[in-house]
Amino acid sequence: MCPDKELLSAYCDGEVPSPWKEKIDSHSAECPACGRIVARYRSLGRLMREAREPRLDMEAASARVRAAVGRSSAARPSPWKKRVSLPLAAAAAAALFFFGSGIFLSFFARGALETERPLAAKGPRKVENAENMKDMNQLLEILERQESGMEVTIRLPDLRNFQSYGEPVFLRAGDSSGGIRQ
Amino acid sequence: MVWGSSEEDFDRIYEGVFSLLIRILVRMTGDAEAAQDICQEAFIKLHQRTEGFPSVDDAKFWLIRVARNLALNYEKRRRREFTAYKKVSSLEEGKSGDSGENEYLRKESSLRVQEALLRMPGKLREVLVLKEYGDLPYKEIAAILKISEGNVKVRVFRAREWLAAFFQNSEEL
Repeated sequence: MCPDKELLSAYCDGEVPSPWKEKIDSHSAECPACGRIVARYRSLGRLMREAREPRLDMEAASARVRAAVGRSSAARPSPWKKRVSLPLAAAAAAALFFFGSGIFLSFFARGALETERPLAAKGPRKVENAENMKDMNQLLEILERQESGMEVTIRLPDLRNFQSYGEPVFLRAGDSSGGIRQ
Repeated sequence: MVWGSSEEDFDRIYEGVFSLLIRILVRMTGDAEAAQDICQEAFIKLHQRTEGFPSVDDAKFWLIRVARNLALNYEKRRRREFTAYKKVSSLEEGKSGDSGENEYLRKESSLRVQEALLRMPGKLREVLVLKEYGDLPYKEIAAILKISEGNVKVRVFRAREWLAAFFQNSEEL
């Protein structure tokens, strides 16, 4: 019994699995009608693939499309997140600002709820030896030793000539801020 | 995991899909310039898309689907112009007496194939182009067009039968 033409078409595309593929192999070799159908489908495929396609310089086309995507993203920033590279000092300062703001805001939020806290505990208090700290690790250690719920204001030096030094600690701390009490 | 959250992901899909996409588009439109325009528009849409994809394959299928829709829109506009284009091309072929008979037949054949594709119903043409020029398996064509593999199989078969009838009527086969 001959397979239907639909199956022969799928066979030409290599979409018929074993053992049916082998059965059609031998059948189409023996059956002139099925052999003709298979030959016709294959010749149609060849005719299509051999048809001359419009000339196209792939490299130039790729460069053109790339440039257009670049222009488009410049006009309208892409949601595909870009990796931002900041100078270390700027990144540390930004992290410090946001971190400090977070602590500051959380203090006010808590303060609004915890009305029973004595007013004396809310007064500003200077952290000892803060100005002598050599790096951010020391600042983190000092902050961890403070009582929870205190207000922390971090003032950056007035000088703006920050220098790049080591890894941005506050960025790292921001990822795992469990050790810092607010 | 959501795929497609960085420029690196975009670069990866660009490098992996560009040549396949442009090849399909050239065959769908029959026009290298239009294929580049559509390809460009599709990649811009991908670049501006806010949602990620479950996998790199999903991104690829989405991109081809968008490009195919753009190509269909282009083709609707162009279909009306094709008859006039064909007549002009035939006249120009006749004028160039220095090309050999084989070359002439090949050009004529290419033109016929292009004409057949433009005349073929859209649902049949897209599966045949993805199969013959994209060399994609039924499974991927099904994912791109969001139809079943069985449906792809039927459409490819019908497209071939349609093409065979077209050439038979044109005394090509």
